[in-house]
Amino acid sequence: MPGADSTVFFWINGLADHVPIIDSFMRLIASDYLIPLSMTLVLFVLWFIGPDPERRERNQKAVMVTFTAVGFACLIVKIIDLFYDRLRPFELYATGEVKMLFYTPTDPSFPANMVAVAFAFAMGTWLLNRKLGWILFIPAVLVAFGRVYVGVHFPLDVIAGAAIGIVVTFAARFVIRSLEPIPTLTIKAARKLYVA
Amino acid sequence: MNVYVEYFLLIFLCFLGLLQLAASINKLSGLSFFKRPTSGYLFATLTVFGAFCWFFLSKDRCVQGVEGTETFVSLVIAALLAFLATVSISSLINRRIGPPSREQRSQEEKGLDALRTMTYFQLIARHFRERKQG
Repeated sequence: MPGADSTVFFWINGLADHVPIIDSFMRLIASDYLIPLSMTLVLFVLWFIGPDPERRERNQKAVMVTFTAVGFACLIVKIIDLFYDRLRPFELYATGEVKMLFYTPTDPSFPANMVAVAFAFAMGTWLLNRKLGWILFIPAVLVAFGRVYVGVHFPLDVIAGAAIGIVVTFAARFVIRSLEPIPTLTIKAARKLYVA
Repeated sequence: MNVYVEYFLLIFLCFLGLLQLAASINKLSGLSFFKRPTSGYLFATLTVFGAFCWFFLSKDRCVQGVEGTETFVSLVIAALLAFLATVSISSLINRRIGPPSREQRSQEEKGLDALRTMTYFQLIARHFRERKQG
């Protein structure tokens, strides 16, 4: 498996450094800001929109599930990092072998935190709205590909990240449902403040 | 300007724009800066697109910058400030929109929907008045 992982890594990373515009796009996609912020903004809008209070409440509960899932994803990645310190591709191979288009992160390679977060966002949205969810899976997959392309993760890291993001969303939904009536009361309190 | 301030400004501008988008979609006159929803959509598009272009095109963002916790804190504070700025500006701009009549009030909606007929500050003032009257 590690052999196949490296082979796929070098195949994807080998695509870098040929077309400058694609490199710039991948650097932007893989950056720490663009995708997480864009997905947060989508959820922010979801919180506020809805044709009637019932539909809005459904959206707001989905936003709660998604943010809980993102929190869980970060937590699980941190816990795995404590026990398993996989080296990044640029640390494992000699200089020049890996085409680095990114800064050199210092945390462990496995699993990919950013990918876990992106998939948690997409999955949480998908549970509420299939169409919007599928749309958000596109940037999530692009982040996963981009992180390998720019040389900071192995394919297995991003696959694990995606799996964590998806699984924790179901766990988050279960937790939010189990916590009823707290989420409903929270939304009611927010309605009293005219913010929901 | 350091990366923290820039990131904070980016989030603030995006939230400010998106609140106008939400106000236009839900027809929340009391929260809107504009009379016509089209202007709200335009403001939201220009603010969000402009903020993204400024942030991502002005400098290379593939550098070690804002950490996870700081990102979260920036997000929460910027969202709160954008909300405060929105309710302050919209309450000032729409200060002349009258509170609903007695008949309208009987069917008046709660939560965000109340912002269709009143500004945020009017709603808060009414809330405290009613509490005072018991």
